[in-house]
Amino acid sequence: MLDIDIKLQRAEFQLSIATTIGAGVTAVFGASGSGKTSLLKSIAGLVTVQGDISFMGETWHSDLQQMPAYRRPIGMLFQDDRLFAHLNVLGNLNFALSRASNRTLEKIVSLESVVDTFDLATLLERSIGNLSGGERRRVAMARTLLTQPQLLLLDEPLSGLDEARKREVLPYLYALSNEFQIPTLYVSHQLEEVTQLCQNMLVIADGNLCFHGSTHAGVNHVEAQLNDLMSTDLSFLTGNVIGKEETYHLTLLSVAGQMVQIPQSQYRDLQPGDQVTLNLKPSDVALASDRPKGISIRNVLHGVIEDITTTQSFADVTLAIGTQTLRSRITLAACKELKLVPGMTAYALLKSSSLG
Amino acid sequence: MELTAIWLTLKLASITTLILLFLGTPLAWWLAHSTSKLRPAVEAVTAMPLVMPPTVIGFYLLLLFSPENPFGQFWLQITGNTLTFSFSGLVVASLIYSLPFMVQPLMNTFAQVGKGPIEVAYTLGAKPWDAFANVILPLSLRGYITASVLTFAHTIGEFGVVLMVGGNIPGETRLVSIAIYEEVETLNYAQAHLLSGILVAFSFLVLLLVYSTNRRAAMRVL
Repeated sequence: MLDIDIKLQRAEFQLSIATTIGAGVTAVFGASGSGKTSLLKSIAGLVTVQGDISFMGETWHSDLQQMPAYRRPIGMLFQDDRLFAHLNVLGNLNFALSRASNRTLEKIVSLESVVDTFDLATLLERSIGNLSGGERRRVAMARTLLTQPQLLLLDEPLSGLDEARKREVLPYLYALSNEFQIPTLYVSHQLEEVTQLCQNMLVIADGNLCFHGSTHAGVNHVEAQLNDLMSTDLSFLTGNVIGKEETYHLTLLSVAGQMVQIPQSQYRDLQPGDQVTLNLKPSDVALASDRPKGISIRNVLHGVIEDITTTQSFADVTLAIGTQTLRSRITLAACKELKLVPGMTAYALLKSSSLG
Repeated sequence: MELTAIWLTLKLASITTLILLFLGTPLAWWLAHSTSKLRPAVEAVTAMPLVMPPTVIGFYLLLLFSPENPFGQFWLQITGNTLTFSFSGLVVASLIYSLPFMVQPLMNTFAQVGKGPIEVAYTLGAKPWDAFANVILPLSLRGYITASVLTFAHTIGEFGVVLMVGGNIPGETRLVSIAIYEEVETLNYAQAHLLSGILVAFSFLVLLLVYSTNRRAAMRVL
């Protein structure tokens, strides 16, 4: 769908990327300054690059011809929402809508539909200066969609927001990238965002592409790299939705053939068959040597201990659950008392409140 | 009698400001955003009229306007008039000595507005002119007001360059500042007082207007 083979010289690094990006939401993951934003700007036509970019068979950039940025059917969401301060909310939306004909003939996304999706009805006459951080992002997302994009480029849309604002914006972001069925590139350096919103993943380091595949595989790739650097690393368990439990608002997952119940997501309506990745802190995973009874924890996964590393007071235990791995941090005293050793079967207890 | 001088001065200042708005905009944009190695040199040349004695500018312009010079000759051929001691010559001279008063405030404004808004405008489907007219221009409005007012006022106040290239021809090159000089030379202090008083009041009002609308941009120049 989007074929890229580009080179771009920057002061700090050389961006050199060749790949093909398909439908769905693809994360562009990497550390700050690794070239993620440069990649997006190259696709948008905002920086001059060498090489080829084509989208659905149409050449956007080659060394012979370049399509100007305003003609490429992209919707770009910038890190700092970049709303026009001299226009009010409606003015910002109309700016995009009235120019959509410069790049596409059919208008699929209407003003009414974005006002509805992003809850903007009461904000339309507001000036930009009178919007909260979360409201600004919603207006920017709506404006981006009104350009009638065939490709969305989202540059760290949650950056600069505090946790509360993030929670406010996330459902809208999910709607933006999933409801409208537009292929999306999502730049982020937050693994949690990536696992929640993206199906595929590009990993960039120092301007080079070092991984392109499913988010699950990508997370493992990144995790393996980060392992050496961080000790408080998360474990990622991937499961498939097998059903819902309406009374207590739970979603039922199958992780390596074992059932896990998680609270129903506020922002995603998960359907059976959907893939979900759980991010687990080692400190949220307890261990037992036998299947426990009479406790509040409902999610118990059995696995085989692969490795135990100990510090003065803690033990980091790696557990194989099927083909996946789960890490648990328990006290060294508990580890000794349970007589945990590699090769033995243990039961991992997952606190449901950590599974949101 | 002196009304002619006042009218001529206002006409020169208006024409100069108008032309510099068109010439200064692309130059200021380039200076604000270019990464070219030439940029500091161009910026320095643009700011030269701020620091050079007006007589130096006037002297070189006089040589440039002379029919002996290719430029002066070219002008004579296409218009039939010389640039020296003519209103057209004053306009060309004003464009040069008032250039920094237009370019510097615009450059500061463009740098402050940044490339962000125009990049967004492109990604929202706006063509370059559309993006400039409907995004950059309204966001830079205060800078444009400052630049125009300063350019207008500075053109009205210039004396040295005008005297060198324009002389003192009533209705053609005799501006208010020249008229004041002449009145003083002929000991006609009453007229000199009147015209000087008008310029003092005008200058104060202009600066009051600039400082009350956009303090920062003005301070970079003055």
